[in-house]
Amino acid sequence: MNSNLSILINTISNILITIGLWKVFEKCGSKKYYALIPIYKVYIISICADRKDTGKIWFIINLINTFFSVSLLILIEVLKINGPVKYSLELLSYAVGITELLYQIKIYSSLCDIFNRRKWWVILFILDIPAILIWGLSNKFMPNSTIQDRIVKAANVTNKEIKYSEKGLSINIKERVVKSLSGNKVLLRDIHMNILPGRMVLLLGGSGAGKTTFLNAVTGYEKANATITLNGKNIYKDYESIKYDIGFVPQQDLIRYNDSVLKTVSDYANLKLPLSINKETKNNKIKDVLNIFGLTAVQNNMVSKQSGGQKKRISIATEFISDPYLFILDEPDSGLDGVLARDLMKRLHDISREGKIVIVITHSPDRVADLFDDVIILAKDEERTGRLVFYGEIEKAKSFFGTNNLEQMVRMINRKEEGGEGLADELIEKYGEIVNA
Amino acid sequence: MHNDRRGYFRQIPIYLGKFFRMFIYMDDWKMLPMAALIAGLVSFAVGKDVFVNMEGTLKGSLALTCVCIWNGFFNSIQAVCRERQIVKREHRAGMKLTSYITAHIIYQAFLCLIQAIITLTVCKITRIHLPQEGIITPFFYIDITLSFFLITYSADIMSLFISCIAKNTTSAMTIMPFLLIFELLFSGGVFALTQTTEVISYFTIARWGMCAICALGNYNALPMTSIWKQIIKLQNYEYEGKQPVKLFIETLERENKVDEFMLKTAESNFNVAYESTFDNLMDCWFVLILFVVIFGILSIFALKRIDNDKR
Repeated sequence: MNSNLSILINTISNILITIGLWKVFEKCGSKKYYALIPIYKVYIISICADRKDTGKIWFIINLINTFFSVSLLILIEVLKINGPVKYSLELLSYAVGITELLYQIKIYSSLCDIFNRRKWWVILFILDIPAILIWGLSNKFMPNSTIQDRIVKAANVTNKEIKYSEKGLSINIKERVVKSLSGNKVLLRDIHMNILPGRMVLLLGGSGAGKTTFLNAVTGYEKANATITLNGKNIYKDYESIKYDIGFVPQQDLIRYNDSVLKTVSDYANLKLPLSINKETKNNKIKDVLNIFGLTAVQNNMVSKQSGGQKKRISIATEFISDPYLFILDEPDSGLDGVLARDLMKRLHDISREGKIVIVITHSPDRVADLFDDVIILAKDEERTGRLVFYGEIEKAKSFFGTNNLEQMVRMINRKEEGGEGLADELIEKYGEIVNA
Repeated sequence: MHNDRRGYFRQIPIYLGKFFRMFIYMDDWKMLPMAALIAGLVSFAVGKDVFVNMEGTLKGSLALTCVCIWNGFFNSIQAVCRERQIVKREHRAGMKLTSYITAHIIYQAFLCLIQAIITLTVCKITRIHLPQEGIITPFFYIDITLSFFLITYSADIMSLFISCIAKNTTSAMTIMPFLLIFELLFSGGVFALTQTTEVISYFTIARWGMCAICALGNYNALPMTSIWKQIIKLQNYEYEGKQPVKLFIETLERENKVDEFMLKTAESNFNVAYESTFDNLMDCWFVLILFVVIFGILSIFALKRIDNDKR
């Protein structure tokens, strides 16, 4: 009798929840009948809550949980099986149930935000109390945006791939995608260019525009769907044969802090320099590099005791020691004062004059603009994908953007909510038209 | 042109030097006093009966095995994952992962050997009754040091493997308690093992470590005291107005047969896995070395995936 009553209450509750969801989906701009599709409806709730990615994971967890519940039902009620299999399933079901609960809290919490309601509603939703019925039927409960309101349209231009050059660096990045359980995210798209030897290139872009991702893709540090060649050799495929020609200084100081400055540099020298170099020459080279980067006085000190700027210089020195042909530096001037930063850039400029390629990210471009030949400008489009806004000589960039100020260029492409002018998509299309013409 | 750089063997000293410098600068040396502290605590808790009677030896060997496993796990659980980004950068710059792992394996051996010696020294200082004769060598101290070393080292290399898989220290430290519990549960020293769990226990360091220590402690030849202690507790039991248990105790004590009784009860608890034979101890050592070799190789393969790491 109790069991029958419980089934009756459950059935009525589920019907009321379904009616509530039907109306909520309608308000959010989704198809109403999705409320009738078990499991899939949780994904639609997530879309209504503007948590599509999290919703995908919740959907999968819900699917697994349902599988466990059905399996347990069959085992216990139909096959009358007990023992380790049943206990294991119960244990797994319990673990998955806890995970699902956390996802429910996340999604329903966001749904409350979208409907401008307090978070305590989440408790009612989780307990399967048909409170959603009120949300669906009452006109007082309206979302602040529908699914349609949130659809964005990015610049629709596909730049042509460039022909690979036998000299210099050729970059053809189709896309760089991050795959995860919650779906694919395109970080970079359509970036094509040829950088000639002897060029000093500035890489500009707002925060999150994909500058570091771009450099990682170019060096193969994090591979993209791309073909990158250095003097005709494919960086991804022939990396072993050209790795000593590439020097990459990452944004973070990826050096061991608990070692001395001298040992850090000399260990890199031992790794990167040919064995044909004799000990004396090698030691002199280490001395020179320490001297160039102003590290001689602190060479016997621990890396951990150095300032941020010094750590950055140690990081650069470790790559500089092998005299690379392609030298890529991600914010090498962070932590350096204006004078030191300019000195460093001058030195990099000198390296480029030796017929090498130097690519640098900096957030203070105007004070060193005269030292650069070309500029690459990346920006986030409406879909938040990193796109190429401009590549070419700095003078041409000035006329393209209609300003002499490099920081102003960044301001133009930055999104409005970031204090920019939000012109990224417009300029991406403008540049695409020029390149494709 | 790239071939004229340092190869596998020539890169090992670079990293060995680095690790030994870090041992001093990076507080890795703190592992050594910690090893002494843990061994001291264990000796204080279970030391009195270790190598004296069966129960004490079983408990003590489990505790000492756990000390070694604990030391090994903590030596290297963060060794690779804490500098994973640096390793990736260096690998891109020309470092050979096999050289890096080999250097780790050599360095960890040094660390484990020192810890094994410390553990034994603490056992000696805290007056644990240590046997005099070894099984493989004539000297017990050499055999037990090597056993402690192999247990610590196999645990160390196992956790080095975990460190190679884990993307960061948090993940590594999350996995470690599971390993510890697994080792403890399936060692055979805490819970009686069923047919299935017995099979699982063959894959634990704890089982082989315990076997090695029990074998060295001559477990099967030791008296069993627990039954005698139970009988003493029941001495006032009355049956038809008499106290037969008390009578039994008095008889044995009067005729100096208590020790013989305890040895007799021990016979029923004979365990072939703890036999004090050359072959048995060699088997234990061999399996522990096998753990080292397998997890060492697995570490290299696991780390080969480092180039696929994303930010």
